[in-house]
Amino acid sequence: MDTIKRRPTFKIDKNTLSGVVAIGFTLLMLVLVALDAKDGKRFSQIVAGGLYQGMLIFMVAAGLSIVFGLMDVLNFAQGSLLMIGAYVGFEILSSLSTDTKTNAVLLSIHVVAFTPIATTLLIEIAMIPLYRFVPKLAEAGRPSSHLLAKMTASALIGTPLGLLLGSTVADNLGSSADTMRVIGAVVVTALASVDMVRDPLLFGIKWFINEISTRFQIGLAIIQGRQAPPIETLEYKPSSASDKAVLGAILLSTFMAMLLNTTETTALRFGIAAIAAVFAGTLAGIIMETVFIRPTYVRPFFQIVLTFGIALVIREVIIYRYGIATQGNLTAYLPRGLAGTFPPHFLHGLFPNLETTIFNYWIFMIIMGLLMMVGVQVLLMRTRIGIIIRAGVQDSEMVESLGVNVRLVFTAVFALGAGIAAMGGIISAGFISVDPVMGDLFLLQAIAVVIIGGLGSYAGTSLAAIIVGLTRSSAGYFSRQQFNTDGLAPIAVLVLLCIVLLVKPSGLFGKEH
Amino acid sequence: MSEPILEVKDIHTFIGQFHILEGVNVTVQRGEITVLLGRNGAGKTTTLRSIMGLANVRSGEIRFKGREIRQMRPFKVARLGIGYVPEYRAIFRDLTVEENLKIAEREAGDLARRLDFIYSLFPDLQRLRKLGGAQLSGGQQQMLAVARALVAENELLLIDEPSEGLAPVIIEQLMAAIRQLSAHTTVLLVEQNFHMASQLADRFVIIEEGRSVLSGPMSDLVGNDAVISKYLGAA
Repeated sequence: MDTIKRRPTFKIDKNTLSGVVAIGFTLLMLVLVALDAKDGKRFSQIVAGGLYQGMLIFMVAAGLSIVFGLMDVLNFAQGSLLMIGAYVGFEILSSLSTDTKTNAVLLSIHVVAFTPIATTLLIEIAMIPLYRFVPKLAEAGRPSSHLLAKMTASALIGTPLGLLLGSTVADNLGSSADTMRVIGAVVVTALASVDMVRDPLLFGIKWFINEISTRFQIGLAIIQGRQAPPIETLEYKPSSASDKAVLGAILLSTFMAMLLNTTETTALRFGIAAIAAVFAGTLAGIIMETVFIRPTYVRPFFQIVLTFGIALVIREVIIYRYGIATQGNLTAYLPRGLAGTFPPHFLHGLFPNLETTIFNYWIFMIIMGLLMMVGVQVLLMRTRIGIIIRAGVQDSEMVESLGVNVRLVFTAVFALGAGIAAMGGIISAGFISVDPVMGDLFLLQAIAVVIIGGLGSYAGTSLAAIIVGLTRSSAGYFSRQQFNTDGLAPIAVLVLLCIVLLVKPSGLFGKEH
Repeated sequence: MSEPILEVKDIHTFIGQFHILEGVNVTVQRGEITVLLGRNGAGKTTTLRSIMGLANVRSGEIRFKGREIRQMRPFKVARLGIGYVPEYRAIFRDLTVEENLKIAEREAGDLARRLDFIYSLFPDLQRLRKLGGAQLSGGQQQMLAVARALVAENELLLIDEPSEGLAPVIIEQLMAAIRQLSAHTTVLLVEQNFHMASQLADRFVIIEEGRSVLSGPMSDLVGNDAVISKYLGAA
């Protein structure tokens, strides 16, 4: 008989313990802040401030973490990619002047890009119940996509045509923006009316519209996973009934353009700058990986020196071009007359209703960061490329042996990380100061985040970014109170780093080898 | 006799500075199971890695279906129709069973086409499909590793030491599966377990200190205790 009682052992595994310690540290800081501030306004400000800082750091750390996990490369130039995003965005913003012509072009882009998308969404959403309950309709094909294709193509022509004609007239005659819009609409309407009577007049334009819409329809069919319509059925036949729809769509897109305020293009300017920034960052990432890092996969030490060197070069180029002085956020850099165009108007001011000192822009940064965080998580967990990345983190040689071009995946992942960092750059440029050392500061914080989260763990990086952000802002609060400076914030992060490393050297979600 | 599916002629492979293979010849006939035999460290695994393009083969010829594949990158070798099951059950531990299979797809729909066949060979995997790779037993992991190589339409499978560290019951199951799948594909096997090798293989190649020293039909070797003890230790 076995009567010996086993003494119960209290053994918490290190994963849980490290998590408890790290989150506990941050919560403790926040509690201290709450006790000290005794003020809901102040407290919510510090939490929101911490979250936005965490999100910005996350945008550098995300690429750092995935790239390290997959390729064992610690990219010391990741912060420079953020800087590239900020400065490229700045170049674009300062090149878009505010005269009526530029505004008209911007508005055209806006309408062309958004009107058809919004229309499609509305039509497709409206059709969902119809298709579900009337299966025969679905079999008969979807008229909505046909109409949509025509509308897209029409908007491509109608909007710029109307707006540019209008703005030219307005510039020459000195009329107001409102007059310009009316004139644009009148010109398009006149053209359309004439065409109703005399068919051949707009034949060239309609042929062009048909060419575009044919391709658009086939592309849409492929995206939706349907059989693409045979190309012969889509051939252009003069005076077919759909031409009337095309003219209608041209008119519609012009009127849509009229409904929008032509002078309020700041959101669009920001969008264009962000796209350019992400594009530049991604391109820089691709060049970095293929030209510089690829030859050094067999020499890990070289990579560190090399990426560090790249970071120095990028910093010096920026100093050469823009000078070394810190000048606050990008608004201060913009040429006279453009200063009001960034950040976008809808992000100005304080977050309403709460009567706090939370800026709208903070909320924007937090939302963008969360979108990236969730987006990459979905990419990793739900897509084929995600499966490949997660498998590659463990054994990239085996992935290659299954027929996957791992080198290409490496480049893609590097580019993805670079794109996210560049996005972080243009976003941060709207609020924090842009200068040639911002890359280095972000890099240090991001490295701390990646180590706290556990090298190579994306979930760890996400959590650690939030923890670090909150730690920074609460430490910053005390630091400002006691010493009138933010200096303690980075030190608190290092303290947190040390504590986590003492409890679990591989980080919160890291695997112990 | 038909043209061999794989011909390895006098390959010399290096790992770093070390000259590991110093002239290995292997011929694999279509539809057969060929086994590489030899002591630990003789160069059997390196031979498979050389075929896959995972090792630095400095000279010699490797032909798959008549085409030179030496110096091709591994993913291209794989896409020609070679499946690789490395030793130590190299499945992806952080992926589920299903994801482990999914990643081996070369074209969308591969897995759906082959899933019935795979589950008929390894019924356990169907039950375990949602589990993480790390939660599987050693035998289940090995079955998954073999199953993964079956997802794409591979004409040749390279299987490295499938029986290593597994219980005899599991080895029996695995042998049955390999015998069954060899009706569809050609197999080049590395196996230390002579019993298993003799039961499965049609032909053998013995590798000794980086050289292929003896080859022939398996029936020549079975019962030839002198050769077996000379090259493989006690039979």
